[in-house]
Amino acid sequence: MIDGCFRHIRGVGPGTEEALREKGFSTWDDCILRGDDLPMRGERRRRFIEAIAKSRDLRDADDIGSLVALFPVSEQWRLLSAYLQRATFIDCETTGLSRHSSHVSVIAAYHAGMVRTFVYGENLDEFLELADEAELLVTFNGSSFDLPFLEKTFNIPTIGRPHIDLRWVAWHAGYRGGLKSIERQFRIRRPAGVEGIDGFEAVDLFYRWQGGEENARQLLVEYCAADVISTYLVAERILQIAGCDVDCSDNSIFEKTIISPKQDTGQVQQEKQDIRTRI
Amino acid sequence: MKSIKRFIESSFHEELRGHFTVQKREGSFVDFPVTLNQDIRGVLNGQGITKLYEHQAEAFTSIGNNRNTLVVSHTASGKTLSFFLPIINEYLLANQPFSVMMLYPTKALSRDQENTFGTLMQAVKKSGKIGTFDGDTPRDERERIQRSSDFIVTNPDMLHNGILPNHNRKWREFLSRLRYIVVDEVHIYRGAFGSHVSNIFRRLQRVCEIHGSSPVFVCSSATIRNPGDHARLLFHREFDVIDYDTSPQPAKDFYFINPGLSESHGHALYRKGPASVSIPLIREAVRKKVRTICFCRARQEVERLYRAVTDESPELRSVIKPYRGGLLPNERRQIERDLVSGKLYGIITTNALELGIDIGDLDLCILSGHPGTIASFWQQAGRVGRRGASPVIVYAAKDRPIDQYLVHHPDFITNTPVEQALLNPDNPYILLQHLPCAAQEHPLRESEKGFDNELYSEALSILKREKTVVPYHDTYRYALTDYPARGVNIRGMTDYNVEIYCGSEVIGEIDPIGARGTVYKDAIYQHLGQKFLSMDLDLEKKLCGVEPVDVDYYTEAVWEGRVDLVESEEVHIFNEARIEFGAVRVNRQPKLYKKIRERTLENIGYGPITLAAFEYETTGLNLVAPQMWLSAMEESNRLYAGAAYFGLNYIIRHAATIFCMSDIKDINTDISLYESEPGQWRSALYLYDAIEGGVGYAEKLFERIEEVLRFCREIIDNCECGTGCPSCVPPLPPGVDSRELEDFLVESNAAVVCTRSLLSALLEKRIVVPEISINRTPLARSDAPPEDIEKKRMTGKLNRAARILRDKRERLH
Repeated sequence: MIDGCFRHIRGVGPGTEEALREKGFSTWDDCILRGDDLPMRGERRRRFIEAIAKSRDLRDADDIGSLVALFPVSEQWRLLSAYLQRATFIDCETTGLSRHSSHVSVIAAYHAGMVRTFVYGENLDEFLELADEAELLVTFNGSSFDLPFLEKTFNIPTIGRPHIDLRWVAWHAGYRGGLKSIERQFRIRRPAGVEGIDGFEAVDLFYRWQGGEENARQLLVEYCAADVISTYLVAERILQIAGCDVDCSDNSIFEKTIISPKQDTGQVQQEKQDIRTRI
Repeated sequence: MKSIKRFIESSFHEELRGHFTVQKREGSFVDFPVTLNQDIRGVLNGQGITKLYEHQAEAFTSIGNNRNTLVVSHTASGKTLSFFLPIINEYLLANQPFSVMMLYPTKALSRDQENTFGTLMQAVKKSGKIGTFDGDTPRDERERIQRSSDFIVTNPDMLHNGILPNHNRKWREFLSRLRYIVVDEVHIYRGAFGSHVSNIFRRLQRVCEIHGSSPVFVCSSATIRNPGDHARLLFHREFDVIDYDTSPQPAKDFYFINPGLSESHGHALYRKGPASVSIPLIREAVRKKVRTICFCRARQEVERLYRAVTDESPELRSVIKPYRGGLLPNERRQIERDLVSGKLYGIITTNALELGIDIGDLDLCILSGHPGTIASFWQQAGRVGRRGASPVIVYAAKDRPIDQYLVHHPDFITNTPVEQALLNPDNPYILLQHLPCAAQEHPLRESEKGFDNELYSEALSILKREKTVVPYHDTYRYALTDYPARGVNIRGMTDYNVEIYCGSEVIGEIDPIGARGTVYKDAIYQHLGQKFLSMDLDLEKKLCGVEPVDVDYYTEAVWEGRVDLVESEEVHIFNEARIEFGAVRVNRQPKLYKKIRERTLENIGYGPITLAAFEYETTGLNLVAPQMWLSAMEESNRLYAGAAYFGLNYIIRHAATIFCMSDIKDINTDISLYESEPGQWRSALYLYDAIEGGVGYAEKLFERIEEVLRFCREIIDNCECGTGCPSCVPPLPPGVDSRELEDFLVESNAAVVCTRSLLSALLEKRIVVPEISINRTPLARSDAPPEDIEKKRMTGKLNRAARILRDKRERLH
């Protein structure tokens, strides 16, 4: 899938791409093996082949970061498809929308069938360890919301990991709007307990929790976890529509995967270990 | 101007205490630099400028070579041209537009400069690329400025809590192409404020480095004793200092006037105020169309003088205006415009007009009382005589000891070097406040450029221990979720204003401490010549309601203060003197107000002020003299101990600035009571940081008290005066509140000799009974013949030299 992308190469627009496909070039290897048939000549051909070879090297070297930076957003679904099982989906809730005075309250990360949550005042900082180990971060609307908020909350210049924003991948696939509206289109149903909660209510939940309502904390964490699982489900469905070979999980995934951070440390350590071995 | 001189000499013949003339000086000029852009040449030619002053050309070369440059600005020396010309020139020649940050110490100043700079920019057809970014900038305007401005005018406060914390988002682009940082009036950045600003510049330079720029600093300063050192401490860079002036200067006449004595209804003698000089002088000058500026010490004094000048001459109201802080910005702008355009002939002002703002051609300057420092004296006197005509400066003394000393010793003003601007960039208390800000801006490394290594790593380890910063990769990131810059108050305790409103309209503003002493309930507040009665001051809501009234009195608050050492940390017994360091509670409160009738200055009533005390905790020390010395003084004269305490109080406060690299207003002293044993109260000298929480000044002095006291004695021993002066201990030091002590001090050399006696006891356990000489005629004319002054000075020098030799001998043997 990755090597079906040509649009990341300088000078390749929709026209050239169509010409390539018409001539039966569907992978990078095709281009290199049948270089003489390429619908371009001379210096341009030489540079094209060189760029394709470089892309192939990046893929072979597993350099996800460079590939994400290289691929235009409209083609990033290919990367998502290739690295879906290695990706870490993240979502965060905040205490408001102001970049000055608000900060992250809860972070949920979904990776390889497991959700970990990071809660303000409890274990929020552990997220940075997870982020450092993540090979690819996937968010819904993270480029303008989650990542800047995370960077602000932790006071770091950048999270520094490769990142794909599913919102724009979905947008190019024709799914425009927020996560919840796309969910509905795909008939994804969140568990009854968190259904109907939105980002604004999450802010409210934070303050109720700070005011002493332990239930509010639990609900906020569950909501955030549901958000991140839902992001994963949307990703699966978009990839399936794009023609990738993906088995879409059903709604029962919500019940199956939630893990609370308030467990005894032995178990948390064990989980961390598990995640590492799986990675 | 001749007629004004004649008027002064004839009207104040009796009161004149000194007259001297500073000679005219020719300028020295050079041609425009060859690299100067044609368009700019055209603009300058259009303004009648065909050559540059030599010092301007030197600044042009230095800045053009991208060297950090400090221009010490003298009166009418063309400062603006000195530093903007090379920058604009380079800007016009550059292929890629670079950015320039211009910092002014206050909002008001920055607004004015934008105007000046704007016209110069407009003249070279590239306007629209400049914007003022401060607390008053509207939100949508901010975005435009961040997006498209090449020149941004701002202040250190905005840099500290607006620009630096957001460097990574909104300011990335601007900072990454920052070529010049222009900082005007750098001498303002001294003392604790200077230490804060110095750390803000460390943060700025660090952030610039992150964004790949290394801007050059271009600065201006008023005349100070140590311009180069000051700039180095402030910016952590070496500077080319251009500290000479080649502009032509007219001759200047200085008159020192001491208002005469008068008899009150009770037949007591009192000295008339400086208004007795300034009122007739302003009226006369303005009628003769001599453009006049009069500097007063306080805002409400400005208003009272304005009323007094115009009340009986209403025709003058349209050509004279009061100007001071606390007026609304549009009122200030209007007055500034009228002054420059020549519509106004007289302006009565505070030190608000001492600096910066171009106020055009003025010919007569009246100083109503001494402005507090020698530097300010010259700065204010320098506001006249900008374009050729020979100006006159009149200094009218107040009935205060400092003024009385100066008016009798004009040579003190001319011979004493201007003050130094002191600051300590490595004040640990202040550094510790800025490191979290820096960490929030960008994670901190194990060592950071521009910081003192040892201090930095010590401070960093404290932050690590407190978990303010936590490890992240190879650095330390700020671990809290707040906005640390907001908690760092760089200007001390008065960073917000109380708004004064009448009906539904805001008519003025005032800082919260000033508000307690000026707009308490029933106070008379004067605004542009109109009187208002304060109805209610609400310090919580930061509002004060006033209503217009028509009365013939004004009000004056009487403050009471108390200082207590509430928590002792360490006691040091030193030659039997007791010095204690700890937490100090300062309590200041306006207790009552006096109603004073205008013109006659009669006291016509009292009223209570019911505001909560202004109270804060800080760190400080108290000092109690050795019991043996106290008993010895008690036996001779019970006033001696008081004289010594107040004398030491004065000199130690001044000496402290040198040890702490602080400004005089950062450290306070007081003579207050101390409970030696339960129920036993004795006088003690208190010295404490004037900044809430303390910034380590008193602590440092406590640690080095012996050195400090030794330094105080050196000042006294080396002073040439012999009988006390403002450079050592003035005959009547400030703070004396007992009539008996005041009478004793004012007529004698007691303050200085008693202080010396106390210092001998403290330093050497020697009991020396002071020998007091009484001077019965301190108020008479004291026009000593010039040869006597010379002789006195020579004797002083010889004595000093002898003492140095003696000391050296003692050391050797």
